[in-house]
Amino acid sequence: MSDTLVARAEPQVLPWGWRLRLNAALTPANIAMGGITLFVAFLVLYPLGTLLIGSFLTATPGRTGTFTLQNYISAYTDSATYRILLTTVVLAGVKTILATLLAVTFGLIVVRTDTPLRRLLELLIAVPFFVPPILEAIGWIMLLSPKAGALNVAAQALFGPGAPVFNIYSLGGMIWVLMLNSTAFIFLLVVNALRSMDASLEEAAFASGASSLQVALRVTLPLMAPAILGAATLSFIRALEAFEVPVLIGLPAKVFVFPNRIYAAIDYDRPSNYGLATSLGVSLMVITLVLIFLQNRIMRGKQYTLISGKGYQPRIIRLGPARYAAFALCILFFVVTAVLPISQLLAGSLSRTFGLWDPASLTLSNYARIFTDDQMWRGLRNTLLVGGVTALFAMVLCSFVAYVIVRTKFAGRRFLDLVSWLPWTVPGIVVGVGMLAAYIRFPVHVYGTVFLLGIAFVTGGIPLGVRLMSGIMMQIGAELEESARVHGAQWGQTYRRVLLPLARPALLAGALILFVTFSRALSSVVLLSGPGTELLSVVLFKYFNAGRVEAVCALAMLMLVINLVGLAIARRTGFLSAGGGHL
Amino acid sequence: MTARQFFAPLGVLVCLLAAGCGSTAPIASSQAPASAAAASSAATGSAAANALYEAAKKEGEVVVNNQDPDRDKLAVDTFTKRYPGIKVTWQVGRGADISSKLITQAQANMYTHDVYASGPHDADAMRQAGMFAPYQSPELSAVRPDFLDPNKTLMPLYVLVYGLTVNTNQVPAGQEPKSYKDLLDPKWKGKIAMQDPRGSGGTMTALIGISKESSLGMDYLQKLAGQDMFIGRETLQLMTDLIRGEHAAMLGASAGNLVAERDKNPSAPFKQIKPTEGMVFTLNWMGLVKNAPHPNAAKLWIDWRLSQEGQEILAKEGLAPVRSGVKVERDEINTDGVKILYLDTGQDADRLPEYTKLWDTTFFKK
Repeated sequence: MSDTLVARAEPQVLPWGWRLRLNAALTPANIAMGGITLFVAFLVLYPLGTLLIGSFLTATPGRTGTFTLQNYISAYTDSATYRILLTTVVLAGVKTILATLLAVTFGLIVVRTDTPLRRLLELLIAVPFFVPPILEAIGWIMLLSPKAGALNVAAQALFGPGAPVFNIYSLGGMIWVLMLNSTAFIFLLVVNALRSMDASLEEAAFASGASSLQVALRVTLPLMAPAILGAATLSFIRALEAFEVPVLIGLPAKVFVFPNRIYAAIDYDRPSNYGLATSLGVSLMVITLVLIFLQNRIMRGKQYTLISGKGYQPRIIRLGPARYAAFALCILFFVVTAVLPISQLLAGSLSRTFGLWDPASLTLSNYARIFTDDQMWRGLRNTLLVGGVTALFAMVLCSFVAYVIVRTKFAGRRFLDLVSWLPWTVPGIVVGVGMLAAYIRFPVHVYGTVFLLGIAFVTGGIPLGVRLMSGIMMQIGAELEESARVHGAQWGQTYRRVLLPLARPALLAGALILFVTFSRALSSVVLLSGPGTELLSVVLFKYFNAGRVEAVCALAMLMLVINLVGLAIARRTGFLSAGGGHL
Repeated sequence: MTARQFFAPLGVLVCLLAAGCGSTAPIASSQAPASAAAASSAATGSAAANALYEAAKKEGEVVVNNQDPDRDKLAVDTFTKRYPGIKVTWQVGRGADISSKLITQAQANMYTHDVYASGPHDADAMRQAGMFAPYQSPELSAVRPDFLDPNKTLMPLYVLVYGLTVNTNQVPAGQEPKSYKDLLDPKWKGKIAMQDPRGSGGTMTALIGISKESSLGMDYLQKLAGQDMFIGRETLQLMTDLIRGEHAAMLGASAGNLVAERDKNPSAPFKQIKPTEGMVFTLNWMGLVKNAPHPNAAKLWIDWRLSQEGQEILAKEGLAPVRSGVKVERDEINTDGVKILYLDTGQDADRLPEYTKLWDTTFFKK
């Protein structure tokens, strides 16, 4: 007996050592995390891979063709590509920095100060996000086109013919429009993170003699870095491929940016050259990789725990009389970014001809047109159902993904993080054809059904969802989970009863943001849906292409009202306030 | 006597009248659907057409595409009244998007579409991908011969007519440009808008035509490029800006665009100009898609679209008909006796990349 004991004490190298290691690795947790990783990797890499393969073929994705490097040669041996890419990166950088500064300032005002009516202001500042970017651009053209723009005409009337004219068709005009839209977007993404702040950290700084500003810059904002950087990066990437402003404003201004090139491959070439568009999109992937790398370096090794077991309440900074100035600033921002362009859309929805404002001949016929359109009602119903359900599903999935990336040591988490960024690096006008080509031959019949739209939306929502949930997951202290486990809770129980309530505001806010993004997705929807499964964006597209821009305005007003009502209800019923805090 | 015994001879008489004078056959009342079918099939002139309708009715549906199904509502209503039992299903989207979808589907052996209609460049892409069945409607005998497809795969549906458009507030009567040449006058500098001609589209076609016209040519285009034009891609954007006074004159709006705008607002301040050098005609094509799920309904739809009635309805919608002898009420789309600067049937489709480079150099490089 003692021999056996001694024998066991010695280290043994078993011939099947790897099986033991595998056995040790195959814990239920690892299997679950591996499963999530594989699922997300499939969702993202399957259509993306199809597109990439297609970029090396001579035919449209989904068709057989012969191998060719022509797309990459055309894209990357032209010096114009690099020049335009550089210009675009600079433009995107400028507008992202400006938008982030504004968004964080407003975020702090609304969440951390005693500015009056902050809850209302929070809603108002986010309003531009609910207007489709193409209409935002059109609204600003109506206001600031050099000869007939409403603001320019008003300026001439007030100050005489020598008044300065603000020409939207310029680099400045492009930055202006891009920046305003981005501010609302970044604001929405960071405002929840700004709420979660452990007062004791700031109090410690104040007690050490720091001024409000120093506290803000050296304690508060650095702790918000994950959320802010994530949002800013998403906004930056979007500027590299979103085509509305470059096509409507940049082209006439003869300021050409990268999205113009991608758009040209799709809209100018017949048949549309998806291969070239994809090969151009590879630049976006490379740039995104660089940004992720930089972000990880900035945030490496630091702790961002803000929600701990001690309960948290953000400290309200008292501004004194300055709070009225802050209020005025927010209202001014709202008027400039939302009221002005939306007023043009509202006017258009009530006019016979968009742009010809004639109080004597206002009409409700545009609203009549959309309300009597069966396809519109079908689209609305489908959008609410499909958009709503997939937004929630996507956010729950993203919460798991964020958990794995941020709160575990799972071996595949860096890969998962990388993969979760990729869907936004594919130019929006190419995503649809990637989905189409990938899923048309899928063994499970999803093509032509609403499921495929759901898949497309979930895939497209992963980057935003994971960023949002990562931000909040980083803020929740480990001891909360640990104490639950010490008390015997299974992982599932811990997740449901500790993490999820704390993450709920971010999750539901994310679901709403995703829903709004889905409800305007266009190219994927046009290609993937058919009669009967149309969404509202297809109806919008139909009116737009038919030249009925007045009906487009009416529909946009309807969508705006629905989104705002939804947001207001969500806030009133307390869905968006945290379960565990004192907010 | 039964209703059928009473109405049938009446129906025959009506059909003879219809066949005789080539005008629209009156649509029989809804109380006698059987004779409506008889009347309509006789309007296309033969028992074979009747057989086609019966076969189409068994299929029950025809899937077609259009950018503006609302505008074609009159067409759908009329067709459905004339051929009850056949539902017209619209696939909404731009020609390019639809063709991408159909070609990809075909590769996976999936066929969901019956009749594809689009401008020449998209139609050509579909044709090169082998997506059409070689159907030529019997109604083509009444179509203008210069509009027919030499490849005998496609059929013309309507003509897009391009000229100039001016804002009548900014350009008083008598000061309008009468020709393309007039646009070179210094007074138009900075006042003209043009759709981006690169790639494809109506303005690409117009500039090809201008470049080939001896009195204009590349020399003219180079001078035009010096007029500091506003160049945008979306015709909608350009039209809206023209109407609200941002531009005084414009190239790239089709007569159909103008008719649609006029219908929305009879007093909108714009007007079509037919330049003395001629108008640019772009044919819009339609074709029977290979392996269509409802081939008989598709043929019925195609034949009807090319019939007197179908073409008259297109004319009401602001699209110039391809059939001879169709009454056209709107002056903008009246092509009778109009000088043609250039007729685009897609013959230059292969040279589009070359032209794109040319326009790029002419209009975009400083």
